[in-house]
Amino acid sequence: MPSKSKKPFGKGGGKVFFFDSTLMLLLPSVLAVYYYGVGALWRLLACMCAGVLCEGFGAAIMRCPRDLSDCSALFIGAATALMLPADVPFYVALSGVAFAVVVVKLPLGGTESVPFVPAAAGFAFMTLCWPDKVFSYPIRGNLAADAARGLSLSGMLHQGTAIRLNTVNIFDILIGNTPGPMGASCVLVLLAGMIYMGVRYRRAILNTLSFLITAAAIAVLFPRVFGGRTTSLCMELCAGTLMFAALFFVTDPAISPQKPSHRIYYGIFSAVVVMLLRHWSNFEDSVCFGVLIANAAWPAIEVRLIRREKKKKKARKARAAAAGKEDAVHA
Amino acid sequence: MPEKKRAVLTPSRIMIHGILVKNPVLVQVIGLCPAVAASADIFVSTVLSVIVTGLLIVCECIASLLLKKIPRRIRVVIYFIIGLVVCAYTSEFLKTGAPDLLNRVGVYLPLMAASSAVALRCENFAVKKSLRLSFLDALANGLGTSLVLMTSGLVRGLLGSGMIGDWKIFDTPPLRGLAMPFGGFIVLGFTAAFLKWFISAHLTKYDAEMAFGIKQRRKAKPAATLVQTVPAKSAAASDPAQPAAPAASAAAAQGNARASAPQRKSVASEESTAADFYERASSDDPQDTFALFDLGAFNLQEELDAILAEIEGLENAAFDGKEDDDA
Repeated sequence: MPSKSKKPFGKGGGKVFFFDSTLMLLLPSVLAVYYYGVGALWRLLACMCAGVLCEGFGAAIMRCPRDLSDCSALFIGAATALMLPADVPFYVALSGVAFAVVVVKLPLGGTESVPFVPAAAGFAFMTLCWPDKVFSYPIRGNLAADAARGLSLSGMLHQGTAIRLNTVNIFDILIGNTPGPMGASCVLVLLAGMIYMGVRYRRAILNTLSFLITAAAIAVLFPRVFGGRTTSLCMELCAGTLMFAALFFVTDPAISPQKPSHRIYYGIFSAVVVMLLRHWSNFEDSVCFGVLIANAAWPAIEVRLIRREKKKKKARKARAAAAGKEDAVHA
Repeated sequence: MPEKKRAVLTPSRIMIHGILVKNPVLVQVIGLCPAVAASADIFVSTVLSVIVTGLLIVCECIASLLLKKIPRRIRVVIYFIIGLVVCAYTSEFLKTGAPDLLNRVGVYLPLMAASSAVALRCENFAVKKSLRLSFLDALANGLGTSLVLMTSGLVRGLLGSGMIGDWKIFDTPPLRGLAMPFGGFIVLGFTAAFLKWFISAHLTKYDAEMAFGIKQRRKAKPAATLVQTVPAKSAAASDPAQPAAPAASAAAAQGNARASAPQRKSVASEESTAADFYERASSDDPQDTFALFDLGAFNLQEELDAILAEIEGLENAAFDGKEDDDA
């Protein structure tokens, strides 16, 4: 990655960042358990344990250095679980976590140099393998196997249903009381996480803000529902895993650029890709695919940005030198 | 130039190289299209394996027998024509014998006609070697490709669609994604890692010859030594104090003049490395050619710089000689 310093995680290293991220995931986890009961807790714990075990065994088999204390394995497990429905089969969730750790994180360089967000890759893998299970959300308080399934906000957007904002209670959307991913649909909690992130990592929040503002602008300009621009804005931002990705995936320090201006460009680029995929993808929620595509394409864009900046700097220096010469001649 | 002990091309060596050490799909990364897209089913993989092996044998034998005197640009076209003929006959044969299988193989059978693996092996090996060796090489490469295709077909069929051929093993496939093309890449990646481990553990004498044994090669032959060594040879021929000679050559020449015993030893080893490079560059042996293009062993830009520096040094020497004659 071109503009990345040798230590992309800053002074505290990856340990502090992923510890903070895991801490931020605790709130949505608590809410998921409150809404969906013990089933959600078991899935969450299983995914976190699977993350740690896969990291331990994978690192031993691949003979790569392992540091389980950096919390990244826990983070991957928790993040993957929170993007899934509360009654998802265990094997689906565990396969996603195993994929994220064993196929993406460990072989591609570990925590500090992995070029893709592992949890997003894990979710993308699950989406491709079991789309029917990943996007089938239970209604709150009813986790029976034969229970009726709810239509999530992202499902409504995908179907292009003609809805108005008053058909769904805005307060329910904000507190995550709608069918959806168990930990990624509670907007208020994610906003609290953003405030925490803003206080702890002032630069990282630039990624999130630019991502969300761009997504909001696209939602207003190109609405997918017939309920008006305000409805489109609210639903696009609150639906699926968009806000979750804005907080936890777009800020990943191993992939994100370091320069503030580049961070803003990165956020904008990711949001454009994500919104394009949302408009034209076959899947109900393609945020993770968008994030992965942005991860893959960003280094090439950043190289061009850096080259352009260098050229501008050179031209500025040349102009300054020419102006100095002219002054000397006049003097 | 010191005598270098060259590896003899024995049949066993050719077979091990073709199947494992220089596996066409996993190590040389050629012919990926069928390996990734078409190997989701063991039947299709088997058919493609047979076709690839047959095509390689036919093309390499013809190339070794008939095409040695023909210019290269024409030879390459002939490989594709032979491939086209073989694929057309196979297609007709399958159409009459097993039309279902032909449907399952789909577009990948005609694509085999333009297989890069065939052209590469013919050009790198068959046109330089005898018929017997070419046949063995074709067989080895065909078996190497088949091994990968069939392993991939077995794993992807079993985990991706829960079936081995037409036998249903799982009602619900455990990892449906593996049946998709991205699953092919994942399976190939893990198979390549397994192959690397297998060669490191059980075929240790071939470990250094693997194209992706980059770290070991760098340790054995640091690329930077070549940059210093080649100008040093040229500087020995010319005046070391030439201003036109590059700084590296001057430094190396000074180093030669005042070298202590260990330094002399290191310079000698560097020279042998350069000699090795030149011998490999001028060699007709395809294995040596492969070794040259192994970017882990040589940094091509540095090699080019070194060669240019040597040419410059020789020109300077010639110019000095002319000046002396004039004087």
